[in-house]
Amino acid sequence: MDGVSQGIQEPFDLVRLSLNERVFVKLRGDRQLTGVLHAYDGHMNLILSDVEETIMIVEPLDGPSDVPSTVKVAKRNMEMLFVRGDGVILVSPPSRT
Amino acid sequence: MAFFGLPESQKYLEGGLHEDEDVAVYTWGEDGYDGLGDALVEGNDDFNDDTFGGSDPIGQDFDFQSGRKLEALERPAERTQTYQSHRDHHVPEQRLEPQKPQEQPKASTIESLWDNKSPFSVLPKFDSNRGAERPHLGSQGSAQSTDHGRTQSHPRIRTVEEIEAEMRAAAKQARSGASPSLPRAYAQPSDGHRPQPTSLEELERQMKQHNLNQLPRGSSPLTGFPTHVAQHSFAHQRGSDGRSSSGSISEAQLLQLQRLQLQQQQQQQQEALQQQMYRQRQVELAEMQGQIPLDYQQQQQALAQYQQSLLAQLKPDEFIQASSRSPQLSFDPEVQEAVRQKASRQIMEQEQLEGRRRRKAMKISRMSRYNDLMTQSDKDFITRIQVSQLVTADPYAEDFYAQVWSTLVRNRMGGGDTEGSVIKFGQNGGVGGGVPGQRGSGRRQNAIQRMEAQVERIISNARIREKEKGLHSIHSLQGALGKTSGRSYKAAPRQLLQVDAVAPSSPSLSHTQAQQHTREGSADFIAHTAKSSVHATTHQREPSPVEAEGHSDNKPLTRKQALMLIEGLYDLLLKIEHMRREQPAPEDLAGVDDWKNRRASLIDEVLHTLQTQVPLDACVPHPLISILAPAKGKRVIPRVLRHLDPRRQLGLLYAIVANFSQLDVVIDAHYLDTPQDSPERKEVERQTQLFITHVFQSYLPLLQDLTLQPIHEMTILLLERGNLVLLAKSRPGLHLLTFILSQVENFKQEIAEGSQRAGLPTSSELQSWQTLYDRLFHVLSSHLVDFFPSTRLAAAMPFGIDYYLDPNITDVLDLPVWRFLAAFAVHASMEQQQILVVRLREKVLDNVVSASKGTEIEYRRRLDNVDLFLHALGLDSSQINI
Repeated sequence: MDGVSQGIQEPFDLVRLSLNERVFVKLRGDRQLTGVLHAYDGHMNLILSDVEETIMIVEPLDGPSDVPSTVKVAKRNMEMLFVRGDGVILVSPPSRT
Repeated sequence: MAFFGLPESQKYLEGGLHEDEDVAVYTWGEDGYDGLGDALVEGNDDFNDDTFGGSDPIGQDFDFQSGRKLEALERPAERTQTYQSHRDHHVPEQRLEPQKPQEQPKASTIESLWDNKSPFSVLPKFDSNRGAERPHLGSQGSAQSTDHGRTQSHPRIRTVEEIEAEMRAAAKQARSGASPSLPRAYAQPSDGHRPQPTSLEELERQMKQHNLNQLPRGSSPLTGFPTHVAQHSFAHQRGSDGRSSSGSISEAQLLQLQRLQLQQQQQQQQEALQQQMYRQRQVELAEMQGQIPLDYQQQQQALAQYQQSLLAQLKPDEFIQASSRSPQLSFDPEVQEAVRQKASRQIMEQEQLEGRRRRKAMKISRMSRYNDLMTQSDKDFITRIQVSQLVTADPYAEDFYAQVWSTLVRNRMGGGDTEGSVIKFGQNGGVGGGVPGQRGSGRRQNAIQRMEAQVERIISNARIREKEKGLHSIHSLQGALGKTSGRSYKAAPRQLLQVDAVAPSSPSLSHTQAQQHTREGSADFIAHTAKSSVHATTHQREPSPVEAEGHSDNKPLTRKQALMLIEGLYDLLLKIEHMRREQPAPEDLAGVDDWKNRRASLIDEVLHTLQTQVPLDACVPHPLISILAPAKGKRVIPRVLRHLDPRRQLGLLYAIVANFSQLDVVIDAHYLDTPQDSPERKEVERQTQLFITHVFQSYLPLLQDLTLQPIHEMTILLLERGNLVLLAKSRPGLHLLTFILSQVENFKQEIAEGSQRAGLPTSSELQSWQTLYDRLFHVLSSHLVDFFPSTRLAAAMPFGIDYYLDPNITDVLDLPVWRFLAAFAVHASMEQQQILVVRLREKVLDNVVSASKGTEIEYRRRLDNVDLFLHALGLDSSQINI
């Protein structure tokens, strides 16, 4: 058993590692956030700072259904954000390139 | 089945009858009863009782106007009347309701209060102008009713109620063949069972109408009457029956008062008043349901007082207004208007106050609905559950923020000199909490005492449990909600899997406790570095598992590993910081020793977690550098240093310096040289700031006390192990170099001034430093221009720097470089200075030339920058001719 898995006993320990780090959060309703994680709780309520929210808006086109609908991406930035846990699908460290 | 002949009796009661009219005569139960009733088809009546309510006593649910109140209002003389007669007044009147709107109230006198015609009459409404009815209705008090010619054989005319009762009885007995006999006495135990006719709604409706009738001819609204009456009636009621000052009295008073107000304010507030009345009625309704009898009575008394005070307030204005109408005393209309406004404002204020109190009373009444839903033992039960969640053996750690906050608050209040005192709940401690001393009085005090007693019990129980169960904190809540009973524990499923109970669950990553194998401390990183006098001391260590695998295979830490180490680090730091509060008394020698040992081992663990024992060349980047990469890794350094002695602080510094060019802030510094505002750039900027403020600043005190030797050693480390040019292109690297150079310069100056301070370098040390400087100069001198951020930025931009960036920014960016160059130039020999001037000539000229183009501030700043360097060479910008 290596040290990493020993230190981690439950999934939240992984989230804990990302405290004060930038995280990627996927939310219900085609929303995504990236921001610095400051706090979380058992409900996955999160407090993020320096957040960029990305919202996918699918706009069905009028007309025949075989025409693909357009996807619009809206973004906004927030200094500090409280994320209610019931909307959280996924929390992960941002993909590092 | 006809509804008890209602239409008939209706007509009958309305007085629409004349003697010559043919009227249905009912003779049930009388001597002359013709037995027609028996001929009626009486089938399908089986469930009548269910439908209309049987003979059970009728509840008070719909009795909105209790007769008790009405009685209290009766004129003293009339109060001697029996309930029986009282009732008899009411019952027929129910049938009269539809006629109410036609009533035309007459003049209002005191007598009219007691008069049936007045809307304010609190008597059962027996309209005197319907005198024709009186003979018909009669009353039981006057046992014999007048006869109507056709009903001579009747002993009296019975009320509908009686008839109903008889019919019910008849219906019951019809089956058994027994014929209804004599009218039954139907006296019911309480008068409260029947709805009273004078509901407030009627009263209000009447009043409204009355007002409408009055207002047009209310040319003298300020005649003494209303006040007089109100006061009179008030006093009267007070005097006659103090106890009776409950709902209805004040209601009547209020109505009068309100009329007064209405008249004064020309009806403008009629709406508000009616709302007020409505609210009052609501309260009264609530009271009728027996919910807030006490509160309400108090409220009513208060209301009466308020009315009095209102009257007192109104009087002067009244007087003024009245007198203003008289020709000889005509006031200025403005004054009049002001007075009126003042009066109305006062009334408004009073009303607001009143409304507020009413809302409060409403709220209390709403809440009091739930009074006594729980028994005391229920409450204790809940309290026990709640408190058991709060019990903790370590209030400081569990309620860290509350404790810190309360310490701050106490400090601010100035009272708190109890250093390090931990707030505890109860005397025996165990439960954290907020600021103490905010205790209420009375009931709350009791509650707190009870709570404390409970807490003590719970804590002692919890301690016993903890002893039994060891440190498995999860189980401490077992049984908190009571015992499960009625189930055999033997029925529990048999345990099939044997899983190792891993020591305490998260959030603590205290894996260090999991494995307690000791190992020969492999590491003395200093030994691997320069010929250093600094020695690591601890050889017996408890390595963390991460450390065990972290450097054994000489692979750099993954980011996740680094993050985990940082978390472990913070856990350790919290423990150490917490230990400070547990410091035993100095007298307790054994305790102090034990405490010191534990602390030392924790600090060893910290250093170990920081990977300082890993050989410097084990991997790139060094694990320590990996730990420093995340922001929280940089932040942890000041907190670590606080617990280290200077020797170990220096050891850590060596480890950082030796790997300086591996630091993320050095490697990624080139991001800062791009003009575009990218996320990477922002991140590097942030990390750089963090590094300077946390790591560098926290080392400043130590650095300033260093002698030349460690500085010398660090310079060697930098030279031999790092990429100096790369390092000097980063802000932290430049800072470090500047600091080293200026520190040595300080030594030189002190020696020149003849200072005899201990720790000053010897001349041989200085000489060896000079040779080191020559090496440094050799490495750096050819890249000097590249150190300027403005130069690097310019290189990245094809159209020149000014095209992209405000020169003000580049000047600020360049300032540290000029400072470095100044410190660099001071140590240079003459030939080296020559080289410096040649290398930097263009940069200096550029700045001086562009400075003359800019504004005064820019000019000053640029020249100051340049002069920093030139002064070190003994030159000045003013000597430069453009």
